[in-house]
Amino acid sequence: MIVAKKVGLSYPDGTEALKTFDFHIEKGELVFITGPSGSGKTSLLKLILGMEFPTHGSFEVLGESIQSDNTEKIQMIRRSMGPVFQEFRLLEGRTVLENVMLGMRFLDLPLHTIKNYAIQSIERVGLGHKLKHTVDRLSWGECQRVSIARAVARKPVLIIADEPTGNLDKENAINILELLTSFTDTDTTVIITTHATHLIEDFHNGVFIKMNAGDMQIERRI
Amino acid sequence: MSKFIKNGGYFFREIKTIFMLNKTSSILSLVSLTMIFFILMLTVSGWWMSNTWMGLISDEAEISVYYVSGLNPYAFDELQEDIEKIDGVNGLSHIEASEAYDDMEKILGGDAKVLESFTENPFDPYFELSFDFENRLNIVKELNETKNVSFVRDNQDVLDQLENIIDFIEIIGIVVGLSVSISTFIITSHIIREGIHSNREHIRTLRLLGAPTWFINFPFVTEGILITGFSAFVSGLIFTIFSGRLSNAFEGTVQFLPALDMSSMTLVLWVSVTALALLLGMISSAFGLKLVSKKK
Repeated sequence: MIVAKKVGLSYPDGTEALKTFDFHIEKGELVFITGPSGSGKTSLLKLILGMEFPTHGSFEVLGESIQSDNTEKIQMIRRSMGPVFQEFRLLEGRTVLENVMLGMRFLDLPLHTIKNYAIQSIERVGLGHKLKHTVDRLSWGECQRVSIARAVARKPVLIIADEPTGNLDKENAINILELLTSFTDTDTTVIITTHATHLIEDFHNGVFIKMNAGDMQIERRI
Repeated sequence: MSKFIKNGGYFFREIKTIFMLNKTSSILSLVSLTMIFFILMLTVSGWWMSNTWMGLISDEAEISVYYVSGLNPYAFDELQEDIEKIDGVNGLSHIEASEAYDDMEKILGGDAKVLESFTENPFDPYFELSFDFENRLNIVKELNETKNVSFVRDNQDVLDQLENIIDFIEIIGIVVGLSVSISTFIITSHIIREGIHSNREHIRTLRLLGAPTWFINFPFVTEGILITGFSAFVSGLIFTIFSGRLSNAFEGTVQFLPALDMSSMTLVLWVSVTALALLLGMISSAFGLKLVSKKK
């Protein structure tokens, strides 16, 4: 799924965002990336999403090498992913259904299938009764659920959630984490970054990556 | 193609949203583009009218060739043959002095009484030539060198002035045409860039979701095409009304200039400018997108 061999990332200003590391993540695994702000969590996600490219080493995502700025290849890889953003990135003025359908409109799927997938995923995140509501009228927790619905509706092989609990109270945050981790049941790999380590204390299975100033410690719990 | 059809409703809503996000700017751009295309139509129609008039005038242009009096029949026939041999002369007719008198009487109308003050016919017989307008300078030169020709009248000054006016209008047309193209290009590119700027988060989200470039760009390019196309259409509508009124007002104002049928020209101009606007809209939108994507 994701294979990193002696990968490092430095920015043009000389900042070493990620010190040389190796890891591999398998299909259906649950991955938590933790660490304080500026520890390199976002840089690692940017590598996976093809927003940054490794300064050195070999980095493969979904069997494709992420080495250079190949727009078409990156677009293709991203279409197999389901990104969930901390700031939701929902389109204001549009309904829940429209927002979820947006992530699938450019896929090779007929419109009725897109709509069915969207409705199914909205129902799965518990917002079936708010299909036609505009996202502007939703609470933060609901917006995050819409964002998750948009990510999972297109049945990705990899879900990437960047601080999905960042703006939520504890109860909502745990609900969101439980929702996200439930997708590993369908062999989907789920990667979640969070600085709130107390929220993941109850999770005992998966890959736990602790980031600190560009260094990473990887622990695999079974 | 199926993806375009499938997403028709989405694209339509996006175009509307992009327009509404920059409502004031978009409306002002529409108005300025409409005025720009209207100026282009005025210029092209002015050029067309002057060219058509020049064509009509040159078709009717004649050269009068006067010859020395008292020519014997042999010399008269020889003169006629010499004139007919000149390259560019299409026809030749001999006007008797009495015919010249009658023609002048018709031209003067009510003022023809002045001719009665002459005891004898003051007009001389002459040859009237129809000719190729492009060869007129050479024809006049050869006529002046022809034996027994006493005087050649060709209205050269008037025709030269008309031609100068047409050349001037043509230059104005080229300058205005270029200005219009550049202005349209800049305005449309600017609208597209503004639209992209206002929708940058939306575009970023689509990119992160793996949307292909055509899917992201399509609403912006379409908006550019629609704005320029609609502006050209409206300017064509205004021009049609304007040219109809202008044509009515002009009819009979200048006697030697015939009234022109502007309806066919107006339609051709309307369609051509709209097509040009659509093309400019497409190119400038693509350019606007390229500028923005280079920055990212």
